[in-house]
Amino acid sequence: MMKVTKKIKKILSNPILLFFLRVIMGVVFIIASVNKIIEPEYFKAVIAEYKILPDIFVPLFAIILPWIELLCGIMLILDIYTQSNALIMLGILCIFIIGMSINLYQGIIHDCGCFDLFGKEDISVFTLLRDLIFILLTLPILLYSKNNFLLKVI
Amino acid sequence: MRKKKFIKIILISINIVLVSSICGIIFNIINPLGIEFKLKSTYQVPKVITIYKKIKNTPAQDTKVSQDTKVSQDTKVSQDTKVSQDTKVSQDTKVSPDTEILHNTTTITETQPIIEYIDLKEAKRLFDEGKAIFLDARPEYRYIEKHIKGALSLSASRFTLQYENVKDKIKKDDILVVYCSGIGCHLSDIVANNLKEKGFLNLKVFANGWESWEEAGFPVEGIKVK
Repeated sequence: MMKVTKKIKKILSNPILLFFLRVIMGVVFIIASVNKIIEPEYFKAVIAEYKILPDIFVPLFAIILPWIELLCGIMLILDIYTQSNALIMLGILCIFIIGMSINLYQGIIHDCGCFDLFGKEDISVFTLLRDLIFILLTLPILLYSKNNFLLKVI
Repeated sequence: MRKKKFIKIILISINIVLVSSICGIIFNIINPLGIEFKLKSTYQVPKVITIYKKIKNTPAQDTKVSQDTKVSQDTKVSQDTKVSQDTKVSQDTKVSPDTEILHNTTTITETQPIIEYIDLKEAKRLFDEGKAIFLDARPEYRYIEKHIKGALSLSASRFTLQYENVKDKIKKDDILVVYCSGIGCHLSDIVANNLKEKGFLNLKVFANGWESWEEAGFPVEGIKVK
C-alpha cells in the first residue's frame, strides 16, 4: 500500500507533468476570464441567475472574479506562487460546482458563465463533471509544486 | 513546519485576491461598459393587492362604466381610480339611455384582468404606435445580449427582484407586451400572470416571441447587436 502511494506521489510530483498541468489550467482560467472582463454586465446577469449570492454582492463578484481568474492563470503559467494560485482556483471551482449542483438539483437551467469565448453553454452534468476534472488537475499542482516567487516557465 | 507553510500559502492567496480585486475595480471604473454599483438591496415585500370587478352579461365595449371612475379595455371595472382610453364617464356626465350605468342593472363579480395573446403583426403594430411597453421575460443575460428595442428586462426567474427596478417605469394601465424566446417558451406566461396578480390591466403575451421578431428583422438592441 505504501509502495503504491509512493509511486502515485512520484508520478504526480513529476516536474514535466506539473508543468503541463500548470499550462493547461493557466490557459483554461485565462480563456475563462477574457469574455467576463469584456462583457461584465452579461457575467453579472449570469451570476445573478445562480442565486447563490445575495443580490447586493453580485456586481462586486462579477467585477472581481474574472480578474482573479486572469491573474491566477498568468501566474500559474509563470510559476509564481503556484500553490497559492492553485488554492484560489480550487476555491473558484468549488464555488461553481456548488452553484451548478444547487441549480441542477432544483431544475433551474441557465447559462454556465464558464467559457463564453467559445460560445454560450447552459449548466449541465457535463459542465459539472468538467469542473470536477479541473479540480483533479489542480490538486497535484497544489500538493506538489513550490510556492516561490520565481519567474520561470519550467 | 507544514502548518506554517500552509498558512503562508493562504496568506499569499489572500494577497493575490486583493490585488486582483483592486485591478478589477480600477478597470471597472475606467471601463465605459463597467457595472454600476447599487449599495442597497432592491427587494421589498409587495404590499398592495388590487381587486377588480367584472360586469356580468356585458354588452358592447363602449358601454362599460365604473362606479367611481376607472374601467379597463374589455370587461374589467375597478372600484377606485381612472377610466381607460375611450370609456371615461364622470359622475356628472350625461349618459344616453342605451348606455346607462351598468352597476344598476348588472351583477358584479370579482375577477382579474385577462391576458391577451398577440401575434407578430399585432406586436409590431403596437411597437410602431409606441403605445406599448415591451417586457423581456427571458433571463437577464439573454436580454443583455439582444432584445426588442426599448424593451425592459423582467425575467421570470428573478421576477421579484427585477420588478422592483421596473415598477417605476410602468403604470397599471399601460399596455404591457410580455415576450420570451418563442412558441413553447412559457416564461412570458409566468411573468404575465405575476403582473396580473400585481394589478396590471392591459397585459398581452407576444406568443411568437423573440425568435420571430429577430427573424423578421425588426428593431433590436443589445451588446451583441452590431
